[in-house]
Amino acid sequence: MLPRLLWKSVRGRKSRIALASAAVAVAAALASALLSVALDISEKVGKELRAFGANIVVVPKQDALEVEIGGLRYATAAQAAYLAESDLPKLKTIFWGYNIVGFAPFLSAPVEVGGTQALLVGTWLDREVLLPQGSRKFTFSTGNVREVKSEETSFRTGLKAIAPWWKVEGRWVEDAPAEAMIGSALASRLGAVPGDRVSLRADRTTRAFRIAGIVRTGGPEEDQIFMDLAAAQALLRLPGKVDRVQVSALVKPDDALALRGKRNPQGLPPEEYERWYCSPYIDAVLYQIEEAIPGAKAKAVRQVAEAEGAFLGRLTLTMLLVTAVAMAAAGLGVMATMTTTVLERREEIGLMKAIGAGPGQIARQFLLEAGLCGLVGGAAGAGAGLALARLIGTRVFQAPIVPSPVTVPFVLGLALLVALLGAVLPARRAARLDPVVTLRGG
Amino acid sequence: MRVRFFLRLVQRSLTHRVGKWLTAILAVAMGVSLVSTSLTLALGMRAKMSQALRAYGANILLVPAAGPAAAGGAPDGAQLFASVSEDLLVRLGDLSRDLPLVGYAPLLYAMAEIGSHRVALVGTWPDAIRQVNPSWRMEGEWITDRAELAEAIPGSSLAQKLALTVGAPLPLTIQGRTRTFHVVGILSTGGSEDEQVLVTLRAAQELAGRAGQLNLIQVSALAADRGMEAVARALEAGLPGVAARTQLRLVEAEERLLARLSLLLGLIAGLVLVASTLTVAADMATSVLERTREIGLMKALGASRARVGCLFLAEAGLIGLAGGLLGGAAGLLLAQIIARTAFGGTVPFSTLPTVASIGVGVCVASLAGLIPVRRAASAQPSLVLRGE
Repeated sequence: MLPRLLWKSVRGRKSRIALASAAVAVAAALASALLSVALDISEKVGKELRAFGANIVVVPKQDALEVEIGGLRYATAAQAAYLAESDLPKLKTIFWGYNIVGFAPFLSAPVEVGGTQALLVGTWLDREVLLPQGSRKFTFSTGNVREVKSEETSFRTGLKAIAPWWKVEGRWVEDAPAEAMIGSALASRLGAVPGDRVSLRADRTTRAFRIAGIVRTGGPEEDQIFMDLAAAQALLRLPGKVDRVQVSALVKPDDALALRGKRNPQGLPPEEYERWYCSPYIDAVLYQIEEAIPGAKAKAVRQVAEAEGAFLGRLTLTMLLVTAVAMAAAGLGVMATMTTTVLERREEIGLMKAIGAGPGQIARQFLLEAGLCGLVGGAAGAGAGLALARLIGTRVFQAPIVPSPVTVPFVLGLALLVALLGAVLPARRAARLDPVVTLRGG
Repeated sequence: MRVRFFLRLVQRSLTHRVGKWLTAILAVAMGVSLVSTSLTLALGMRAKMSQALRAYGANILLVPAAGPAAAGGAPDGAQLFASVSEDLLVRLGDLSRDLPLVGYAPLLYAMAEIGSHRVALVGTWPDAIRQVNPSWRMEGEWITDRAELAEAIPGSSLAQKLALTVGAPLPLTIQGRTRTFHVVGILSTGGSEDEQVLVTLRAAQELAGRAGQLNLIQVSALAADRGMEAVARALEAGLPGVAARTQLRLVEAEERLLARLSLLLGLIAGLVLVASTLTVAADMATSVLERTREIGLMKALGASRARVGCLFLAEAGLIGLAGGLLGGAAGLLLAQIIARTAFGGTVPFSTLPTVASIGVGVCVASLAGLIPVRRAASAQPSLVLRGE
């Protein structure tokens, strides 16, 4: 009986049902699109924020004081400690190796050029790094073993990857052993232009380099000389050594657990330690880098790390608030539509009562109808919303928004709930009315 | 006469169907408030986000025009500003009133000795450097005053290596002159400051024997309207002998990010506009549909189609206007609440969201109401009245 009633009602009132379902669908589409964007925006914008520079610096652990002024470092070679260049691929083997989006090693020392002193910096300009294969297993004291598989076999990184803002007049170093790039301020002091040759003197070694390009950054780099790491190692007679590594990592803003783990991760209870270790907090990444690279101390570049965390937090909050407002407004809109749809059928309700239907039966039919609208509209809308979010993602961030698994069930549930709520209140009121009055059209 | 009758009809409908009118107005207001919220945010958030990104630190460095600091091998050979720092800073202070500067901090570097260790000493205005670099982390206290001569803040790495703690004495020597500072706080930045000692500008100038001299001024500026290069050029024009270097790292990344986020908010506003239009249209259509019988009755009593259309249009227009005004105002309020919760401060009021809200309200409501009216009006009154 009930299915037939429902079927009749749906068939007889196709356009009305369609209208109500469409209203639900529009609201659900809006909700699911905004929710998808809000839940994924932190990661998308986090990637964008990596353009603000490396957020981690890895230096050798050493007791000697380092004297650095305006990008120039004054440390005597006898005291200096170094990291081994061959250890660098290990950066990609830590638990959060996937989140290490770029790194570049540096080796620097003052050299004499054209009668003045300048800082020589050797680095990877653009390098293909072969990564160790297979999966890595991490065992925790809770007894859990987590496995991380990496599909990447090689990784392209270097200065170009972590410092995309550099402006080079001329070109980047191509012939690695014989070419150098020179900072714009230093170039103007030396009167050098691309194509010139400069001779650099370090300790007892002198070597001539061709200037490939002039570097402009607005920072201390404008007073420095850049060349391939191997060339610098040869000139400074420090084969295989680097003195700092800049790392660009995707991290999650600090929360309560991150703050508890900050001081002393090992002091956390085992379950919490595991959760901390397996979350991409900046301190967890620092901790894992120090574990992986012998003799290394990893430091967060506070400015970059904190500004990033704070900005992402604010942005996510904005998006969630906008989503909440949109959901509330769309939900109320759907409720209003459902209410109107029921109200216009008061006569029908009266008739049903007149031929002996109880309030329960009436309510059931209306609820079923509303539920149908909510379900159909919600499903169509949620799907459309995901497509919209995808479109927004590719349009704005050149990468599709990854929908969170909670989005569709949440939106569907919400649509159903709102549709039912919108229908049940007026249906109950109508069912309580005297059929004589409603039938008269009062 | 006709007009008065028409107005009476509208007025009667208003008083007799208050509940339905209110529902319709609320439905319109709901959709419109969303449009107004998202448009206000899309237009106003850029400045807010730009301000939040200033946590990345100085984006313009002022250096002597002749050549940058640290040109020589030792900082003693470093280039200093030709003019006396007080003049330069006063002039910068005047300029900062017209330029969108968040803050600026003068710096003087010197090489100092702590016992047998060499360290870099930085003299600056403690309050200003903090304003320019809000994400630096401090354990202990900041130096209280620009005139303070005995307080020092070592970097975290330096403090660890020399076992310095808050309250400890810190004797600094430059060219035989020694002054004992005491440690009030320990600074951690992850940058070269971790290995330096920070004191007030005056203390550094006195100890280094460089009264009135500076190496560098860090400037944090908002690029909101005119772009960072324009701000840098304005600084150079106002300060002779000074070169303003924009930090490409921050400026470029910020421009790109803000462009993307503006696009995102704009797209969301567009999406919301479309969705709200559809919702308002559906609501209006539904509320007119249920009055099919009334239309039939009006026609049976001799009303022309145009007459019926006018009446319903006027009603829908009024609903749209009321809903638009209500929703527009609610949306502005909501946008302010969101901006305040997430970024602090308010977003500026602009006319576009208000105009769009009322426009969506009136136009969409009338158009959406008109279509079912036309259908009802073209039907046979006898059929309609029978309830078909």
